[in-house]
Amino acid sequence: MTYRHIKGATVLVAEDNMLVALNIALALEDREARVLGPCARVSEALQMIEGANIAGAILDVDLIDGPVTPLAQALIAKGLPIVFCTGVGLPAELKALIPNAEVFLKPTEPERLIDKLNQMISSRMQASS
Amino acid sequence: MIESSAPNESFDAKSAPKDSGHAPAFLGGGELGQRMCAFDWQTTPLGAPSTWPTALTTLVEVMLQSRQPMFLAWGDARTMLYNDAYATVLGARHPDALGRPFFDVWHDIIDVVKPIMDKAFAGESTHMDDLMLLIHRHGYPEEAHFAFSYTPVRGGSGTVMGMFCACTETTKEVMARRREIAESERLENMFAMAPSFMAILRGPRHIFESTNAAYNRLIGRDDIIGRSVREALPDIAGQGFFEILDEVYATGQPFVNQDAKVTFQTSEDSAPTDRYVSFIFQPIKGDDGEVTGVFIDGHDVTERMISQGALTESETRFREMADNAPNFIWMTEPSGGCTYVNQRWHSFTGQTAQDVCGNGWLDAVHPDDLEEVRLALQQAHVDHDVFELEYRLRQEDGTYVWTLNTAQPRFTTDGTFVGLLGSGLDIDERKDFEERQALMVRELHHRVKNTLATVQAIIGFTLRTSTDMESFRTGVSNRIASLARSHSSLTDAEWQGMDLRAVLRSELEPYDNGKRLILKGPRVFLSSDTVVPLTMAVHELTTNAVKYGALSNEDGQIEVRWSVTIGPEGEHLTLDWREIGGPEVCPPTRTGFGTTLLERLLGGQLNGSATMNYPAQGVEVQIKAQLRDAKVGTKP
Repeated sequence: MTYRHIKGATVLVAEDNMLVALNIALALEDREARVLGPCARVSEALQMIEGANIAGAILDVDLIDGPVTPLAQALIAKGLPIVFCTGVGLPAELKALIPNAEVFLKPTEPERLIDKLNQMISSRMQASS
Repeated sequence: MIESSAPNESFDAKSAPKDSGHAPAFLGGGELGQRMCAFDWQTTPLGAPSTWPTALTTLVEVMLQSRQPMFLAWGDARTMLYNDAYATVLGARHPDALGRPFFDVWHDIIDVVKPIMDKAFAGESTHMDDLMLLIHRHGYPEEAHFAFSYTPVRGGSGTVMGMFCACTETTKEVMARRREIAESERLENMFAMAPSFMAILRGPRHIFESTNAAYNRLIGRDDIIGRSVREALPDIAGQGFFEILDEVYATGQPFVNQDAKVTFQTSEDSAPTDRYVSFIFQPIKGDDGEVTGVFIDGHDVTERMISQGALTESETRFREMADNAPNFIWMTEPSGGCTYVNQRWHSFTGQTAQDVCGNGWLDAVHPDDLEEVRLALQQAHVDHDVFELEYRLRQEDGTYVWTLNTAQPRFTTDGTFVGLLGSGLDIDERKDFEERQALMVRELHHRVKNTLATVQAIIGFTLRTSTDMESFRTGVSNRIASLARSHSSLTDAEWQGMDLRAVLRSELEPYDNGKRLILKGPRVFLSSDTVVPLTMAVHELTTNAVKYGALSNEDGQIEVRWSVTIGPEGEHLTLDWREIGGPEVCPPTRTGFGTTLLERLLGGQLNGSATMNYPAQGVEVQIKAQLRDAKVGTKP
């Protein structure tokens, strides 16, 4: 597995369990990705992605200030790939928003999330080229 | 009793033998007159009538003219002569009896009549009150009663020549008397056996003339006949009954009373007993309309009054209980209409008794639940079945509360369905609790997953920083222990969060000897999301201090001071960790996990930061964080 699409890319991490978030962030950095966050709040994340050039996102579905839905909507609006990592599964409104969402149930090794995101970024680039 | 075996023959005068010696005394004597005319008296000891003594002819004349049954027994032979009326008495013995000896005619009752006859001939009159005979007056044998008087008839010499007997039929009187006796026996029987109590009082002093068994039972004694009511029943003096009797006697007006209480005490030693009676005092009046006594008739209604009283009492008790119950209690009739709600319902819904009538009570049910309630109620009334439903009920202030309602069908002793008896409970709290519980289960699930993810992260970090297996084992073990500590503390606080001081103490406390630890700052309430990573960070700092810093010798100190400032962005926490008195510090060659954790933890946040300094006298860490969810107390 090569991480050529992740390498050098900026990935948003939104996760309110800060230890989990840090673990993901460190794993991303191991692949030489740049980490935006980790954010524990939807509001923070929305502010951070303003004008940022990001390649994708790894999101928990519930953050301190509520469901991640508005953030997911904003990312989808930008056409960015998202990998969800959740303890309880995807809520109905997110399922409706993203019928083929990539969802991993906690606990999941960060590498698996990153693999999936890398794969998604890759297929997106192939589709646009 | 003498029975005649054949009906009278009719007399044919023409067939009678002609006799020259007939007496004018026989004229107008009816059938017997004609028979006597025709009779051949020569064949009897009397001889021709022309030869009869005056006394005899006179008596025959009197006898034949009389409608009263009469006969004569004349001379030593006691020859019989009689009139038409007596022929009836003779029955079948007539007409052969004419001119025959009395004892031949009445041979069958000779024992009875001979002494009488002999007495008469001895000169003594006798009366016989009642002789019963079966006679054929109407073509069938019939009981008849007669009274006879046997009178001696004397001749000129004073000797008794014959006996004259006048009879009086007493059948009617006897029968009437017999009927009277029967009737009075019947009445007496009725009186005695009647289930109602009866007594007859005579005179103005109300003397007991008679009482029946029921009356004696009521008053509890039977030795009262001939005594006045005041004498016989002194125990009921002062209860008004004597005065009413006086009034009835004086006015002649009956007095009726229902369910009156009367208290008897048959003796000084016995306990008074209360009886309830419904009765009438009926004045008894003579032919002249004057009151001569009082008839008492009534029923002992004690049992009914007691059961009714018990019912009233149990009803009162039910109402009291129902009205004081914290539950809603309601009753319906078989058709489903509401007939009763308790006080709790009234005060809860504000509905009046008028409001709840029929289907009115359902106005308090939440419109969204109404249809379901209606259907369930209807079903329970049709099936005579239990009813159980949760629905919202409107309080007087218009807000709704969840209630749990259950009802049982009510039946009379003969099995007739008479409606439902229901009770309702305010289960808003329970509903809340259930919702909270469901939330907690979801939350727990979430938390377990999160904790596993945290443990996974800890393993990840420890792997990163461990140089060998031993340091990995201790690292993971200590970090999981720290995680467990913060979980315990959070659980104690119901996962609502924790005070900053408690977080610091949970990690540093084991190393404190009362002098090494300085914690200074206001109350800062940290949300549970912040507590776990912060505890972990403190754990890392503490571990470093124990390994290399102020806690690695005997007298190093750790001083943690913090403050909260409120700016336009919200509340800011500034925390300074300072190690004093430890070995001289060398800046680390590689970044420890604690530092990474703090820097990344806070660096990821807007307006958050962690700065590490390594002056020779001791490690210094400054943490700045924005406390959005944290609550800050006013006291230091």
